Amino acid sequence: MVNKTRREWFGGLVFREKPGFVGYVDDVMADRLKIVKDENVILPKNLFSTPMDAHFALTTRCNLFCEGCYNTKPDDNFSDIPLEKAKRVIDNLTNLNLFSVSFGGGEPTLHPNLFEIARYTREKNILPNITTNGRTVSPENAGSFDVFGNVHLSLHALKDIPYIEKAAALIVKFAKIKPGLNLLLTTETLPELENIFKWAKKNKFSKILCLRYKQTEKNKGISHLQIDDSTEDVYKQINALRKRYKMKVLVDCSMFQDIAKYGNLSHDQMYKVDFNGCQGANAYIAIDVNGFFKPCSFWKETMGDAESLTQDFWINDVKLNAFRNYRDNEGCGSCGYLDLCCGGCRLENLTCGLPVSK
Amino acid sequence: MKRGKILKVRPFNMANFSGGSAYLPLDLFFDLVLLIPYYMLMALIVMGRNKKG
Repeated sequence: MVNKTRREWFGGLVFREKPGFVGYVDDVMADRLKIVKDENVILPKNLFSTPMDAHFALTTRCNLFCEGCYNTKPDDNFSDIPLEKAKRVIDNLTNLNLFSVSFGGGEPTLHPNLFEIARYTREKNILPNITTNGRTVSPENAGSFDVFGNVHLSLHALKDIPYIEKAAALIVKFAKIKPGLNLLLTTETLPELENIFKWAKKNKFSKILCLRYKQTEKNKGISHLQIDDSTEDVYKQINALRKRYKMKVLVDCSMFQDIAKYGNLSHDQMYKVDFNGCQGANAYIAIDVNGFFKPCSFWKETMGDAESLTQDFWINDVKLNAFRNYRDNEGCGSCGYLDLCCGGCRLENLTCGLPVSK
Repeated sequence: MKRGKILKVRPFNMANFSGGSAYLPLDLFFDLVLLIPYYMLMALIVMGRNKKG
């Protein structure tokens, strides 16, 4: 089991794999838990000492090329991160005391060394997780998924459902893990939301993560999949289905502002369960197939080699700080949710119409 | 001796998503789920104290 602690500006963090949680404690409790403090490092307020989680793209190859994919196109040059490079990156993430690494791609199961990299990650006391489209899951390899903490299956279009159902059953049977569902909200999936919840419940998915369709350079111009999620209806619907089917539901960080506006959750409720907006370049980073890191999976510009990222660079780099300090609009300064929202999604086409009050 | 405080708890493992999101609270059930990590953290402190003697 992966169990870790570390000091932070507010005190400390306690990470446990089972039961899974991250506890935030104050300085007094961090001392009582004997979490070691590095007196030489001054941690700035509102910034984690290093990321908690890294989203690591192992390959740009894919076996689906979903319409509207933000990351991979059929005419790309495909590459896998070499095994030794991946291990050096993991070594450095170990030095930085990350809690988890979430493998993605492309389709990560197409990387020839996926399970070796995952096992190496766990040996280094970092929790490996994976997001996959499930097409390559078979009775022969399903048992190997037991190395992962979380397995999430991506549902981008309704035609994926039979394949995901089959993959989920194999992972439950052979790896003894109940997968989660990454549900992309599009003009195709949103009208079927209730049926998808019903199906996910029946097939014993552990949770549903509702993802906003976002446009990047890769899917620019494919706008017919974009839903009008700036209305209260979307959030009312998600909330009603969550209650009706008693499913654990996560939402994309870019949806934070709309949930704050329409979701009837108080600031305190959101704080208590660590419900945030953008945590890019703070709680997490993304690492691309070349081993270079960037603040978010959707962000184009990389900012250095993940195998040589240091805490000093993490805290002081100008570009990372510019990303962190971004604010979506002038109203942010007076908004009662700013400490949780962190200024909105940095992808320029998303705006929120805030401020809202606590 | 000061007791210290648990400031907040992020329940379950939150990875596998491109974002820093969290669960929508599950009402009463969710509050009960949150008790598990709280008790675990308290147990860790008690274990540490016993070790110290």
